[in-house]
Amino acid sequence: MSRPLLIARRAAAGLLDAIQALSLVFVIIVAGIVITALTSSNFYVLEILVLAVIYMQFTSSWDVLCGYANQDNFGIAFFTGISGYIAAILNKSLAMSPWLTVPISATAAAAAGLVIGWLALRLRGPYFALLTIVFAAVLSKLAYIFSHVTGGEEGISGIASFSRSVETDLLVCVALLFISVLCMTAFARSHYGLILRSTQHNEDAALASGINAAHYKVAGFGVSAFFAGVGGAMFAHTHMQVSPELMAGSLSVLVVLMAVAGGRGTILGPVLAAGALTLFNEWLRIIEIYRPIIFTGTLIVMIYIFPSGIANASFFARAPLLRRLLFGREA
Amino acid sequence: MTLLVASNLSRHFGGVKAVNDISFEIPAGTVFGIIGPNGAGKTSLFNLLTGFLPPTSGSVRFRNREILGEKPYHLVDAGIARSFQLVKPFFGMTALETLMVPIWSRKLRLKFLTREMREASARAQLDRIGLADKANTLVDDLNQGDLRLLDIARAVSTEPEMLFLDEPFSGLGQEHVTRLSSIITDLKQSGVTVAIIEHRLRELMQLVEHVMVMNFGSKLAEGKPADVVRNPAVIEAYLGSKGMQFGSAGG
Ligand SMILES: Nc1ncnc2c1ncn2[C@@H]1O[C@H](COP(=O)(O)OP(=O)(O)OP(=O)(O)O)[C@@H](O)[C@H]1O
Ligand SMILES: [Mg+2]
Repeated sequence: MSRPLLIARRAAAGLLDAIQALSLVFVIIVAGIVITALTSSNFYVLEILVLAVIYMQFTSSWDVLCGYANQDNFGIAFFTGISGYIAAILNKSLAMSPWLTVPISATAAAAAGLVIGWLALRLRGPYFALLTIVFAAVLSKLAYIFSHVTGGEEGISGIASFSRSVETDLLVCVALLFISVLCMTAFARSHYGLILRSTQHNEDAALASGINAAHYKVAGFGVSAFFAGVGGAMFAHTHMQVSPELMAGSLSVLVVLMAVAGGRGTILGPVLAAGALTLFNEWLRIIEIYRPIIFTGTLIVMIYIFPSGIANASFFARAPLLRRLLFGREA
Repeated sequence: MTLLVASNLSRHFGGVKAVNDISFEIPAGTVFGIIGPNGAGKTSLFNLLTGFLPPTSGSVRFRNREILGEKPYHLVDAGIARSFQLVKPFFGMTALETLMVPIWSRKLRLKFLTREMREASARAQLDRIGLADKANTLVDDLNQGDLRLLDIARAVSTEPEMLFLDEPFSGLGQEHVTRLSSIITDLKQSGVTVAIIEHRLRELMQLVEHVMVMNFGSKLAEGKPADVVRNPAVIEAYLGSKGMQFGSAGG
């Protein structure tokens, strides 16, 4: 069998397997969002759902590498930012349609991910985290330095939205999220996920098993950056503006916290946590002044109670059916 | 036929000559023993031969091809596998998952095309080392003996022609020792060449036909086990005053 054919066959089998393994709760949530988009005209609710979908995209893209390789990327905003800005610039200056900017900017983010992944190969733990922080920090500085292109602090506004209505924008976003989660689940359940997990503590045994560990880590970085990039472009085309916040350290940290609280290495744990936490954060607007304190406090308490995240809580080991419903099939 | 030829192999760490100008040959189909006191450079030698340590100088030819300095995963493709003295388990993974990893080496990935084939192969390997009932146990919950056997099974899973085992018997209880000895004998019978570093001489002497003794990074002696253990220089270097006891144990 030729190599491309073999890869195509594996990818198809992987996607099929991911569909079979998918969390029922996630499917229900996606269906719920679709129904809301089709029936509701409450602008406020639709906007919040768009935001929740974007955060679900961000956290799952973080998890697909970091949750499996057990390395903490504290610079996911590098990829959301670079992709969001590229989408914005392509759309504004070349009048490119979102159907083109999303794949192009996500691919650019993936390319950047491959480079950073390669540079980070030898680093572990805090050193790995530092490298990702530095890259994201440099990028946001660059956004200020090249303000004639990026709009500096103001950012870029007047970006085209996916469609003329929020309802359709939400449908586009939730469709992109659904496809992304399927692809990332397939990736994580494939030998890529297996080998990333095998390198968590020490990669000598993987090397001695004939595995070029570097290849898998760099590929994982590329995949993570690609889907973070999809999220960044989603943001640009729904909020119709991008600002340095999209590449800020605070966003990176928030994504790490939500993913870790949800349960790393499960894709769906971070997805569900990001969705729930975004809604919770919006709901807290009724007590606006205390909102940031209560929100971050909740995150910290969650991580304190479930240090390995909700999806990995020992509770679910004893309730496999519930686990299956919420987070999908395990093996 | 000679499978592996090391010539003037050296590796220095600053002033420490961990491996110092060693030359030896491993004939195909044999079990080759390496002994020597702590810090003699045995593990460093294995690291050189399996691509885990860049050499200071020298040459290693495997099936007449220079392999020194190649990456460990390329050496696996070439037919070289190893286990570790300090086992490095895939924490968070099950025993079965551990043995799925080598299947994705370039050497084997085209051999097992379906998920069923891959799983069956990993299960067969687990069965062989007697851990079939622990297939779905996390390695975090396995004891030292099981972990060592699993690491050896991981190495064997790569279907090597030449297998390097670094102190495979250490930390094993009697039952595990018996099982491992018979696995090594089986491997030999199926044509695999095995090199073993070992402190537990009783097990080693029964398995090997040829022993090399290392001390301070150099080769001290080499030959049939029975002859080597009677060599006064070996007794002196390896066991000091306990030498006589050692001589009788080996004979
Ligand atoms: N990475 C390293 N850096 C510096 N020195 C090293 C390194 N690895 C080994 N050494 C030194 O090289 C010498 C040989 O060590 P090695 O581990 O190869 O010995 P060994 O024969 O396997 O000993 P043991 O029986 O204790 O396993 C020792 O003096 C050791 O301290
Ligand atoms: Mg050693």
